Formats: sequence, C-alpha cells, structure tokens
Amino acid sequence: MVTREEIYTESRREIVDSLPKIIVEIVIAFLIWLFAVYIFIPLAGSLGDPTFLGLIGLQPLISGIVIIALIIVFLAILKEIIDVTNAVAGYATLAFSKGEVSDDKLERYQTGFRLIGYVLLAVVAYLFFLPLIAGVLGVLAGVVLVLLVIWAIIVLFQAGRIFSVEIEQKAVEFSKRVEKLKETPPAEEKKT
Amino acid sequence: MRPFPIFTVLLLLVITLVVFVPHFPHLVGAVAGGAGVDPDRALAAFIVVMFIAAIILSVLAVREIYGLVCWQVSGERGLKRT
Repeated sequence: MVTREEIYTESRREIVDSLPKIIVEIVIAFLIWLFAVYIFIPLAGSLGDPTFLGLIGLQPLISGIVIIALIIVFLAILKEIIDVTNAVAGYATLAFSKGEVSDDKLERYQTGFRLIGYVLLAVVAYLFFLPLIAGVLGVLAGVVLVLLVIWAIIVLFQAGRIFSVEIEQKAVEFSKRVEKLKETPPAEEKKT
Repeated sequence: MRPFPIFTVLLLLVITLVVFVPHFPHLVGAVAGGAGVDPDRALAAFIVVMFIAAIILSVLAVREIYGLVCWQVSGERGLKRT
C-alpha cells in the first residue's frame, strides 16, 4: 500500500524533474532535424559531385548521421517519458481512488500510461525520421509506417485491456447506484 | 556575472559558413587545389564536417540557453525575495 501523500510528492517531483528535460531534448531534436532537412540535405544535392570523397553519396550520409543523432536524442527522451507517464499515472490513481492505493493498482495504471506514452513518442519520432528515411531508402518509410501502425494497434489494445478493469469496476458501481436510486421512492411521493 | 552564450554564437557562425561558402566555390577551390583534391569533393567534406559540428553545437547551444533561462529565473526570484 502506498499513501496518497507519497504518490503526490513522487509524481510532482518527477514532473518537475523530467518535463523540462523532455522539452530541451525535443528542441535539440527539432534543431538537428531543421538544419539537416532544410540546409544540409538540399546543399548536398546541389553539389556537382555529391559524394563524400567518392566513397558514399552525400545525401544518404547526412541522412544516416541525422538518424543516428536523433536515435540518441529519442532514447534520452524515452527515459524521461517513462518518468512522466509514471507521474501522470500517479495523479490518475489519486483522482480515481479513495484512501490508500494498492501497489498493484498503481503499477497497472503506470503500465497503461507508459504504453500510451510509447505510442505517442513513436509517432513523434516517425514524423522526425520520415524525410530522412525517405532520403536513404524510399520504400523503407512505407514499411516502417505499416509496422508502426500494427505495433501501435497492439500496444493500444493492451493499454485498453489494462484500463478496462477499472472501467468495468466504475460501471458496476454506477449501475449499483442507479439501482439504489430506483429502489428508494422519491421524497415527493412520500409526502403525498 | 551573466554567462556569455558562446555555443549559440558558434552555431550561428557554422550555419552562416555552410550557407555562404558553397556560393563562393573559389574559396574552397584554392585550398583544394593546394591539397590536390577535387574542389567539389573538398566542398562535400567541408559540408559533412560542418554538419557534425552543427549537431554537436545544437545540443550544446540548447542546453546553454536552458541554463541561461534557469539562471535568469533564479536571479529574478532572488531579487523578489530581497
């Protein structure tokens, strides 16, 4: 069992610690992407001999360097995303439960939010990688998109199953409340 | 003392060089001719080196700006307290 105060303090600390880091990392990724896509790749295409010392094409080389740099940045973001989703899960647990919270429930919420966070990050990462993958191998962008969609459906389905337990419990509570309201006659009828 | 954003200035310098140098190929041509390399290949190598420098400087510049913002915010908070 975890106390509400502990969850609140931990979630707050994680949000304050991780959110600025995520913003900084995304700005770094955006800046690298911006320079590569709008300055360096067009510049490489405009050269008479667009190869690096005659060994490799300049555009695929630059795309490859950016892909490696962005992978490193997104791995750093992933670490922070896990912390933030744990914090958001903590807040959600507090909002949808009364009194002390069981470790099992908190872990379930964390897993659900983490899976949603993974999908969001993957979508953002794909948008960053799209022009670069297309620069290296055009077909690869489509293949990656199809794989991403299938993976996202599976992961979101898993997340939905995690939350379905909670939704089911809430639905049962709600139906019980409605039944109680039906059983008790309205106050006005009693008076007459 | 207010920290000077050296990496941001260097990043701007790198981007400016990368944009301007290919427009004046004779600048690279002279160096490449001296080294016995084809000017286009020298320009390609210059672009790759500058690109790697731009990536490293982007990371450093963003962190530097974040540090400056933190420094400014903490300074203002300190002023408010006093």
